[in-house]
Amino acid sequence: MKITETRTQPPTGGLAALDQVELSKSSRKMLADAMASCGGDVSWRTNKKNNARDLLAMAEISGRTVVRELDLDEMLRALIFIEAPVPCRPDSEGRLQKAPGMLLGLTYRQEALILPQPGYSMVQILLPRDIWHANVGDIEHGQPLCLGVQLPTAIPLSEIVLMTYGAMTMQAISIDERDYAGVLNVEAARWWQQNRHLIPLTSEPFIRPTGVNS
Amino acid sequence: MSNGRFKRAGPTHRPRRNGYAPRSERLPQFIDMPPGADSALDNLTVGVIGAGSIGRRIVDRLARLQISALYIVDSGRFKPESLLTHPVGVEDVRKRAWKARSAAHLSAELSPLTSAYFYNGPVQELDMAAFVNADLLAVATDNLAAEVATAQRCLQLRKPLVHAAVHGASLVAQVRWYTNSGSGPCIRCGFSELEKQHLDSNTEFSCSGVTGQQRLKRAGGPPTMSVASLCSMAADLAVMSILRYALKLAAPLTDSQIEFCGYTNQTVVSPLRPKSDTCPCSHAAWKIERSTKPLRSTSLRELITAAGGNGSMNGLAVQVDDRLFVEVAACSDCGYRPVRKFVLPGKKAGFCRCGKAIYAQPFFSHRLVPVSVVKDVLDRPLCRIGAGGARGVLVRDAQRAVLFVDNSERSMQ
Repeated sequence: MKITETRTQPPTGGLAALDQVELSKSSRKMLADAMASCGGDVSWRTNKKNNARDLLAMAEISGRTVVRELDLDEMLRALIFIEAPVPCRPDSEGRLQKAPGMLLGLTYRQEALILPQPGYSMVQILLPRDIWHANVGDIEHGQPLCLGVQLPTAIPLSEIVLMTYGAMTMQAISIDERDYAGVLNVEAARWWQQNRHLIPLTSEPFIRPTGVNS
Repeated sequence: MSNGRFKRAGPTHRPRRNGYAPRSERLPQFIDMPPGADSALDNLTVGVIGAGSIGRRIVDRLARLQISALYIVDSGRFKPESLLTHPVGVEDVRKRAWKARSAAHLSAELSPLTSAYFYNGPVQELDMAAFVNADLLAVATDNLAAEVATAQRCLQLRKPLVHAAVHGASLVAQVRWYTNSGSGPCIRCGFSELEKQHLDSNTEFSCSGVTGQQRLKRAGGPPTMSVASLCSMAADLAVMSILRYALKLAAPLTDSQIEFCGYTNQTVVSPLRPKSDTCPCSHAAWKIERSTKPLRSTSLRELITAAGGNGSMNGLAVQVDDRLFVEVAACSDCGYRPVRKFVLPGKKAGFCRCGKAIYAQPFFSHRLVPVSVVKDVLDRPLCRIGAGGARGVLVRDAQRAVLFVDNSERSMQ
């Protein structure tokens, strides 16, 4: 049987040209449905629409991301799934467990357009629930992912997704437990210092090359 | 995270008058000012953001005018270098005293007639109704994030803002007056590309914010290099503008800046650039309403109706102080638990059946919460949905925003 890949091709400008990606029918419907109850003033609504559109475009070309839900009522909220190896708590013999993907809750508030925001304020890892990562907080506080000492003013949501992919596959990571900015799980930070040979979990780029869709 | 509250400095009982002369003993009869018009100062309330080399002097001058109240905000403490530019004694420096607290106590000493309140933290941590009773705000800080946050509050509350600053190397003292009348500029409108970069690079957050502790680790760039006399000049120019505004002296102030240069001894007054089309700040004003009964016993539906809500939920949202409306919390052992009430940031959202505390899940927590999300609790009084101590409730849609404040004297404290 011949398998034909239906993934939208990345634009020639890459992720910098997400606005050139033509959305699929289902993505257009998801965006239209979310825009129907989109609140806030004109500039905030416009910003949410642009960020949401980029997120959907990014999902279409990445080959590893699915936008499950989109809510633009007030803050921008998106539930997205990213297929990538994710570190989970080691088993009783100390072997690292890996999940094949993660469900993220992304939140983007209007104040992010005006002032820099805390690095942990935009990404929550909803699943899996036993993340083993220096920059991810405990389940009690929602497994927030810290992406640094601050997120710059008006950072695009697509950049947040890319940073999340880099952090969770450990292509970019801070594991110094003395670093006040970034380390939310000291125990995991120390474990990873002892197991640096396992880093990164994958060196695959965020946008999968055509033909390696799984 | 923004649940900071002001504290009061000095005695809370009736002020002593022994040893204090009334303002009229020295206040001149200003040209064209009707007799008795200075009583406007009796009712004047000013918020001062930044209590350093400029802000502390603004507090000093305003206290000597025996105004009604001062609300002073600064997240810093004195350090040895403070003696070089701040009008502060050695004892406060030795104790590494909080700047805001020290300035408030200075005010209380100078003028028992002035109620002095202080907050030892970033202005961003104060709730949205914090300055609702202020007539105007003054900002004098080297922290761009605090400037932007103050400007945003002034725009929302339609309060004039006076911004005082210095450039030490050129001996320039600069004071900008923002009317915040709607069509004018805000501080952010005038930011250069360099300032926008500094805004990001000079702000850092601590990860402890995840659990609701102090989250701002560092804000502000290198200290302002200046001399005490230049800082004093900026403070005095700012207070002159405040005096002119409060007593309605001469023509009304417009969006403008005054610059004094010590090299040339020249003063230049120029209009501020108009509102920038690319400014990300919302320049829309909030309407302020005093609630007819205590907010704690008022329901969200009553407030929505009072705000003129027409029954349509589309686009309508509410915010209670800076509390989060939590849909889902989590227990470290049992997982997710439904909650559906307002919770102060960082505080526990209740208890799990297993007895452990549960905490808000960020993705399922809203500060500005769509009414469609709270529709099942719309008719309950705020005290029944975790907001018994509410001081302000914002009802907002695309066209308007109404801020209801608790109609009690203590609401701002």
